[in-house]
Amino acid sequence: MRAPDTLTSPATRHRIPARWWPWCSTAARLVLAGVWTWAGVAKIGDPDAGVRAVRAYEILPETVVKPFAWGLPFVELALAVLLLLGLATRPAAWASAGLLLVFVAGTAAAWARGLQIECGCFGGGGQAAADGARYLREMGRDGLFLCLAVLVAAGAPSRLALDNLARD
Amino acid sequence: MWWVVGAVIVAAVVVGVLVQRSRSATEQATVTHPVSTVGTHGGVLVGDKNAPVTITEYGDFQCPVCARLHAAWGATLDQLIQQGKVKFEFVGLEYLDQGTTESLRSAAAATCAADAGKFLEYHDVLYNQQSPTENSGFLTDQRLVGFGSDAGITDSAFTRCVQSHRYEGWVRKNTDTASQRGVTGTPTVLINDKVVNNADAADPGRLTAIVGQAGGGQ
Repeated sequence: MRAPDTLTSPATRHRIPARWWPWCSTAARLVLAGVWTWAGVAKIGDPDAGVRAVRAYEILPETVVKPFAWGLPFVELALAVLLLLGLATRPAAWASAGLLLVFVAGTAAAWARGLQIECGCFGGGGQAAADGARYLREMGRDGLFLCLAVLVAAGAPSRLALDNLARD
Repeated sequence: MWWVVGAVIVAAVVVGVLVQRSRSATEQATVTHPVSTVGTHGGVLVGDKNAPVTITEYGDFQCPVCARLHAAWGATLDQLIQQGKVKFEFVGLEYLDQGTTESLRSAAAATCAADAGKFLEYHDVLYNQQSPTENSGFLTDQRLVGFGSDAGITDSAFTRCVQSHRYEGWVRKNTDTASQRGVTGTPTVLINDKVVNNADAADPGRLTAIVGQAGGGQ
């Protein structure tokens, strides 16, 4: 009879109880909604600075720079609203994860080429000294947000979400 | 539910493009070209037009490193211009404005000074009297007009030019073009269209040597 032992083994004793997971997902959802609100609001104020910040990465062709720079803060705010309400939560979280991956890849590409830019993540950006520590910090931060997005996308269904009304 | 997110994202991009284009000061700018000479980068051009070497500075009058560069290379640059070895193009950018207009208005005012024939003098005053803090409200129109007197400008057309913000659209377009050309920071210095390390530009000996190699040795 080994089964009862495994229930009290050190590995399982510290596990988060299953009933907490939906609440973890709710917390992660709200944090992500806050992040997207912050990012969107910071970028929306100066459309011209947004265009310069996107251009400074030297990744997108000129024809795509403006639609990307101008659409991005609105997409971020739209994702914030969906996550806040818990509407289409999983696809919104996967979309968030995708966007965060784009940001991490953009930062890595800029770092690898030694471009002297700021990330522009929360508005402004476009010019700064190249600094490996700062690039790492930005990628680490976006990586953390990416983990939250995957938790919401693939984890337990979160509480306090409009999606739950449709399910009932 | 994927269609909801897809539709929301597409709608957000469309709305974003429409709203931001209408809010973009660069898109909406009315461009007035300066009366004074303009260089190939769209900046104010001073010095002998037949000078063999062109030095281009992409600068922002609020940028502290630009002011430090000016302090370091100013005397040498003036000398090279006076000797006819160098013509100098200054492209004033508004990179450091953060919802403010101090970089924009100072670059536009410097263009007014160029029309009054006192660009280098005004460029000196703006860098020499730069505020230690950016976007602090230091560069008011009144102060920009006052700097004109410090630079020896007496023409009242200068005051009208500054107060009417005549060249702001032109500065906005130059800033946009600079960003398209890959200028991501100020100061960016070019000698005969080749980017020069700022440390080299700031060293009078090395600057003179580079100008000499570029054809301004005699």
